[in-house]
Amino acid sequence: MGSTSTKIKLRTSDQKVFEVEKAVAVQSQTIKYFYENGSPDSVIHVHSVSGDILSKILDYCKKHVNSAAGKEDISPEELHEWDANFVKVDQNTLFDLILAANFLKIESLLDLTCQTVANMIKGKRPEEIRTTFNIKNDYTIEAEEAVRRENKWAFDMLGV
Amino acid sequence: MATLSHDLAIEILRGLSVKDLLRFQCVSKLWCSSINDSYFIKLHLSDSLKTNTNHFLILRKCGYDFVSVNYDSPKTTQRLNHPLGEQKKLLKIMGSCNGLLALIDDDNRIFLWNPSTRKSRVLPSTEIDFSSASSFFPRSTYYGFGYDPISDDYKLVRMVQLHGNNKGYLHSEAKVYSLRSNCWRRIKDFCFYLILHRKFGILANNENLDFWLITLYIGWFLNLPNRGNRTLLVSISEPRNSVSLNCRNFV
Repeated sequence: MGSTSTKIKLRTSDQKVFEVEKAVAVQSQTIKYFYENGSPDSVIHVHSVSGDILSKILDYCKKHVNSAAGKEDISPEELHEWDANFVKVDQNTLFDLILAANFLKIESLLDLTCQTVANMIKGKRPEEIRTTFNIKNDYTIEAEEAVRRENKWAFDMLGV
Repeated sequence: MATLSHDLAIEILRGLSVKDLLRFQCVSKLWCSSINDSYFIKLHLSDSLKTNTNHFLILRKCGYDFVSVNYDSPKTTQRLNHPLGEQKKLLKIMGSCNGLLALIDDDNRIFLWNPSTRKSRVLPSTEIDFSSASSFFPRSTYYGFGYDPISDDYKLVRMVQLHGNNKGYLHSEAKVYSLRSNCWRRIKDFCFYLILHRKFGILANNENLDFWLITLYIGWFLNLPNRGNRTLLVSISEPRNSVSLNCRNFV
């Protein structure tokens, strides 16, 4: 049996079990670490990732593994487009993907999802950012006004 | 609703423009301090260089008006106010590095300007240390501006040469300004007679020239009168403990 057919079992936070090709699963540095340091037959708990999110992430890993291994004839431009479609999800799913990519240590997916959020918040006002990220404003009115005044030009041309 | 940790929020901020970052300092005190953190600033700069983002072309018209053109969307041009807020004052550009410009105005005020943040800093003035009645002598001044990765510092080199009435009479003085310490320091004088068309130094890539083992060098093209019209590359090297000037054939 070649190593390509080796399967790794993963159990999610909602107790769903996935049986995944090793080459795909080890795109995650976290899974790779658990696999190499545990018994090969044991089930790896990805306790902070739900089944829905893990399923999406495995799609991503599979696409990238197949493309890199030449199993799938896909140009870099097409892969780029596939990535762009992959992150066309609602904000909540996008944040879940970021949290999961960070926990699973999949660097390219973390970069992709973070850049997607960055593109989403470009040109926004601080008030909108606080809502998006659930951040409490800890400035006094005067202190905030001082920071705003110092960079007045950066508030130009914003939608009112 | 999923909430991201501050570390993950910082990962996202890496992908934003400087203008967005300046605005998002208002989000919270923590965001403000993270955006102004020197580690984050370096990360943002190296990301921008790697991915060719946050790339602007700065154009100048009439000697004092600056226009910034965004490389990613060349149709987006923006007029920049005079760096020191003074209208119609002529400015000369002495060099640029990592998005910073070194400028000098009519009153010989030297300053560094970051067009991305619109912030500038006037350098302390420094006298020319010649002892003789130098003001009668023709004088040439040359500048070079660059980043020194070893001491993680931006430096400006100024060389002044006085040419006396007697043939062969030459006085020179070289000083280096360090942004980190915000002061000028005199270094070994430069013994060659410089004739330059371009009066500003060009920072050469010091990574491919490891035989020099220097932390900073700034090159000028020059002609040596007694050796024909050979073009040479002059460098100022500044290892940690000593300062020396190198002069090499330019190839």
